[in-house]
Amino acid sequence: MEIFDEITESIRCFIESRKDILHVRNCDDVAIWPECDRGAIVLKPDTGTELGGPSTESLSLLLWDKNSSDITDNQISLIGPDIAIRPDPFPFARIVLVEIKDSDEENIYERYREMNLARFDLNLSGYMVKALPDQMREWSRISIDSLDDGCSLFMLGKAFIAMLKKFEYVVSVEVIYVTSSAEDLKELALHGEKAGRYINAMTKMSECMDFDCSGCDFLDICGDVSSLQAMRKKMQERSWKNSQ
Amino acid sequence: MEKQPIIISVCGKGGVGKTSISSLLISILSRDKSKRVLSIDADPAVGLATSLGFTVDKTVDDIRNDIICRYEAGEKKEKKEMICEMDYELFGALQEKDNIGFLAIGRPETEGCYCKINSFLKDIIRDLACHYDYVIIDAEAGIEQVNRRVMELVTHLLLVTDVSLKSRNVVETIANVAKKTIGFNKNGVLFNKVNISEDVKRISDKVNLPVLGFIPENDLIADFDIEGRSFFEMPETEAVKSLKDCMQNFIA
Repeated sequence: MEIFDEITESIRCFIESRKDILHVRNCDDVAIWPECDRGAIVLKPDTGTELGGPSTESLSLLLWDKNSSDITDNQISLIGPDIAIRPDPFPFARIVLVEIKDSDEENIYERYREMNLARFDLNLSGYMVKALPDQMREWSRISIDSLDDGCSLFMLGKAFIAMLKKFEYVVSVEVIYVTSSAEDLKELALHGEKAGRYINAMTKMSECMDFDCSGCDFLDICGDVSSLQAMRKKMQERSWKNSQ
Repeated sequence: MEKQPIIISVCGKGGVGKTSISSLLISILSRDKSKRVLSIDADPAVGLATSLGFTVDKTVDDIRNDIICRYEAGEKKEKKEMICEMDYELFGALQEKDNIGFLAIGRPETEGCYCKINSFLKDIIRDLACHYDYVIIDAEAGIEQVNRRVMELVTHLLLVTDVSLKSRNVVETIANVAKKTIGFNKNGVLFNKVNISEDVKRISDKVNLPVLGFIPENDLIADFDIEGRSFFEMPETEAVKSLKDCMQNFIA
């Protein structure tokens, strides 16, 4: 079983259950939103809308796969309303599904970090993003001027897809936005937590040189997921070789 | 949009009325709604928050300590991840009301092995400050504050003193230390709690620094302090008018 198969499947079921409020577009049909030189700061008086943030639910999830059949390249899905001027923050989730090539147990963790941190180099006009990558939380603001000029989540999604495709190992990208309700976000957060445990297990493997798994907090999930087992095995082999 | 903000640090001996002057200054400058004002409470007592009607949930020091604790507990982070996290937390600690932002520094940073964290935080605050027209720093009492990182950003040093020799000596010392440690553009002394008819002639030539003006003793300011009322509700008293006049040339 691939690392995120089960989670991806659950997210597909969630989308299916919300198809009455689902809007889907291909990013080729979406206009480009302009970039700027450096990360914008959008102060409260200039804010048209706020997504996520400390006072509401947010989830930012990046899941990768080696199998193209599970990802619809360039597709942007939106469950809930698109952004518009409003005083309260939208609950917000962005789930990104990425198909990658030439990845193995040795490089997958570094690639994940690289892709996950790339959003901070995405400098879009009138769009401020702050995030806690470890907690999968994201907080963004879009300026009044940008909303007046027609900025939409589809445009932001298009920019996000283009950004990830700059990595030579990224084959296809699909983006799913959820703004429907805090309840929907809570439901998705359960999948986020599970994905977070897998990623934390990988983080621990990459940092921890102790190969005695008996007291490890992630023992249960490593047993379930073959790619985590393979990653562990590879690291053990490398450690053994280095000690010879 | 990035700006070249006027960054005023309000310094002086404890008890001379720095926080009241800072609050009045913020209130005056923020009346023009097209201008953005960032208030930084760099006094560990966090009195500015009360005067401006903000409640402090998190200080910059809380953010720094949390990161240091996690680092000491073995958490590893790359530079970029660490900066992103501090940026999120710091923006979360920023309180915003209309055209005013408020940030509490908390206790001053400790010397030691965490200069990188302090440096990242300073950079984030500097980036934030560039989006305001005015930044008012209510400084910690005495001269220690002059050595703090946040002071490296200051363009205008507003030295507040009462008529006492002790307070006048403190502002002269602050000005001397600041000349050596920070690159401000302008400085000036503001005499506070002055009995205009009796004190002005006696004290105006008693400091070797540019004198910005005199703020008369005002019972209403004391009442606002005692009652913890927001200085935005302060009526146009003589003290407020005097401060406006003093500031016109200083920040022109």
